[in-house]
Formats: sequence, structure tokens, C-alpha cells
Amino acid sequence: MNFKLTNFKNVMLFALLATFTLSSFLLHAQQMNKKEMMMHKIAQLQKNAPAKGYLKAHNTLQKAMDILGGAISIELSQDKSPVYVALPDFRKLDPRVFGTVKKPMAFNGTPGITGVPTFARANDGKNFTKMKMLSPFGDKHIVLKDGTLKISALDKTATDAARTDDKVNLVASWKDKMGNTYMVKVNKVLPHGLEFPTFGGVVTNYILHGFTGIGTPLMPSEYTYFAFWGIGNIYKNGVIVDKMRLVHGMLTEYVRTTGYKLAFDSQVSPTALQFHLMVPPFKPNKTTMSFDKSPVHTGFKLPNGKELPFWHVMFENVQVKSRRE
Amino acid sequence: MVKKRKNIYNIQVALSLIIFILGIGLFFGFTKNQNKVANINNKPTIVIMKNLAFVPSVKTIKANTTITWINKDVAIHNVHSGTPQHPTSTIVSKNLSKGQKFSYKFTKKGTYKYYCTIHSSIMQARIIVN
Repeated sequence: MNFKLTNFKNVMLFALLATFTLSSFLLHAQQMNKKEMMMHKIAQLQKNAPAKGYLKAHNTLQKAMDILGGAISIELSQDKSPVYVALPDFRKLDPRVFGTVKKPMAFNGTPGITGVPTFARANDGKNFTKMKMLSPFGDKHIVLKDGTLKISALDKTATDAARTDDKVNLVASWKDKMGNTYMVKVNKVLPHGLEFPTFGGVVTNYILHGFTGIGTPLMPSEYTYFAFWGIGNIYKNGVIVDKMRLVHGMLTEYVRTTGYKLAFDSQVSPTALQFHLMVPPFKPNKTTMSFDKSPVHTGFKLPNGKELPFWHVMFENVQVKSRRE
Repeated sequence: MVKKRKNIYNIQVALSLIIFILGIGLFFGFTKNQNKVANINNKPTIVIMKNLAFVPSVKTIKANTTITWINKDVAIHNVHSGTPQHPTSTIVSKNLSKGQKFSYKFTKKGTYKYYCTIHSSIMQARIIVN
């Protein structure tokens, strides 16, 4: 190409090209900067998780004390009955839990699993209204069939520790309309938490979520008769589709209202029970002592063609047996 | 002669007593049967809430029949007339825990759709009154 700098048109073309290249570079740099800033913000929030101090005092404990009154064994079961499966939704935010725009609450910790940063919340100027991002907690759901559940668990260790005598053995399954079977199996507990306590892996007769700072505040504050945090494998039609996933289950008072909407604290029903099984889209990071985002391979296709990146399944007809050992 | 009359008299008294006792017995027996029939007529018609469903989902009854819903699930249920898209206020129960009941007497002919407001996507049924 015979390039003549003195030619006005060529100069203009060169100037335009240079401006475009520089703008793209600056925009890219700005976006990278934004991403880095976001990661830095999240890292700060994770570092500031309120229970970190408590966990530091417990996590390396070689022998924790037992719960008062003796170990409690728990057996839960459900025979083939419909189950409710939560779909990604924008959770409405309870002002009792999340505070106001001027005085926000529940923002520290890994976003979605321990806290919800204020930049992830929509607001009307005064109050927070709903999440800006999709999460496993909300009103949208589908009903799948043949939900069965079998759990045997032991709550013996009282506090978080390096080792635990708590135990859990869980097999849960359900089917979709096409007859595909989905299953979760757990036989290992998490002896201590990363950002909130796990009470040795199993806890009984406590309040979780909501205002408590134990577990996500996106679930309402709910009396929990039994809960566990463990590691399990995820199956579709008998084949492992994901391994070594964080699994959380809990038997609580009833937290759904009209149209199966997820309740606020004031709407919780104390006179009925339900069991929730959660495989969240996070993996524990023992180096940073926090959680990393990691969608679950469930093998379940949503209507939009994407894979459901978590399991949040409600069992409504659970039979419960428990006794002091 | 007097002795013979006395004997006849005694027999008459005995017979009267027997008839009287039989009569009382028959009376109570009859009444019991009547009550049994009455109870059958007043026996409530049941719809069970089980496995997140109303069982049966379609019930046909005569006018002036009372339906009693019984919750046999661990989950909370309720009975609300209409459909989730078009609820009505004809029949509205409170939330029912396991073992709790709710009754409603249907006096007019018609088809009454109803549902559980909590599990509305799968718990819908109807009562046909003819």
C-alpha cells in the first residue's frame, strides 16, 4: 500500500483507527479493573464473615465436647411422594433480615451463601426489594414425582472441630416427567464450617438462616429440628454426574406460603415440618476458608435448555423418628 | 272355683307382663334401628388430603350433604373454592395441620372447584352436587 501521510483522507483514517484501538484497550482495561475490583470486594466480604473469630477458636480442636444430655439419633424417611424443586429466581428481601438502604444488614460473607452484598440488592430508595441476581431461593418451582428420602444421622459433637463424632447417611431421589431419576447420596459430614458454624456436621434443635448468620440469609429464620452439612455425590439415572459436592439438609418448620412462595420471617408456620435438600452452586475453599462459585452438574434441563446449576428440593411428607442414645 | 279364677288371673298378669317386656324390647330395638338409619344418613362424606392430593379428586354428592376434609399429610393444606387463577370465597378453610379437619355443607346443585392455596399447582379437585 502506497501510504502518503500528506494525504488528508489517510490521516483521518489513521486517526480513527488509532482512536478505536485506544478506546477498545481502555474499555477492556476498565472492565478488567471492574472485575478485579469486584473480586477484591468479594474477598473483603468473605474475610469479614462475622463467625470467623468463633470458627478460629474451634476449627483445630482435636476433641470437641458432646452435646448436653446425650447424643441424638435421627431417622427421616419419605416414600414416593411429589417433591418441590426450586428454580432460579430473584428472591424478595425481608427488611427484618436485610435492613434498609441506610442501615443494611446481612452483607458479609460469600455472596449468596453467607451474606448478600448491597450491590447485589435492588432497592426503592429506602428499602431493599429483591435480589438483582438469580439464586436457588425464591418463589419459582416445579413439582417432580416419586420423591423418596432415607436419612439416618447422629448428633453427638456439640461444636465445630477438626474431628467429629457426628454422622449422616442420606439417599434421596426423585423423577422427572420423562422418567429420569436424580439422586443425591451423602455419607460424610463437614466437621467445621468455613464462614459459619456447622456444629460438628449435624445440629439439632436450633434456629438457622435469616437473622441468625448461620447459613444463607435468603432463607427465612426457621426453627430447625435437624440439619447437616456434608459432602456427597450427584447422580442421574444411576450415573455420577458430579462428585464431592457440598450438601446441606434440614428439617424445619414450614416456610412456604400461598402459591408455594418462600416466606418472610413473619410468615413461617411453626405447626408443620418440611425437609429441604440443598446442593448449592458453591465449593468449599479450604485455602481461603471461604466458598468459590461452582455450578452443580445436575443433569436436569430447564425449559430454556440450560442445566439447573443447583438442587434445592423440598420433601413435604417426611416421617421422623428420633431418640436420645 | 275361686282358686281357678285366681289361677286365670295370675296367668293373665304373667302374660301381660311378658307382652309388656316384649313390647319394651321391641320398642328399643326399633328405635336403635331408626337411629342407625339416621346415623347413616348423617354420616359425613370424607375427602382425604394425602400425598399432596385430594382423594378422591372428584366427588359426587346429593344436595345438603356435608363434606369433611381430613389432612393426613405432614404438610399443611387448606381448602379454598375456585381455582388458583380464579379463586372464590364460597369455601375458605384455615390452614390444616396433620389430623385436622374442615367441614362444609353443600346445599345447592352445581360443580364446586377447589384447591389448596399452598400446593395450588398440584392440589386441585371438585365436588359435584346433583
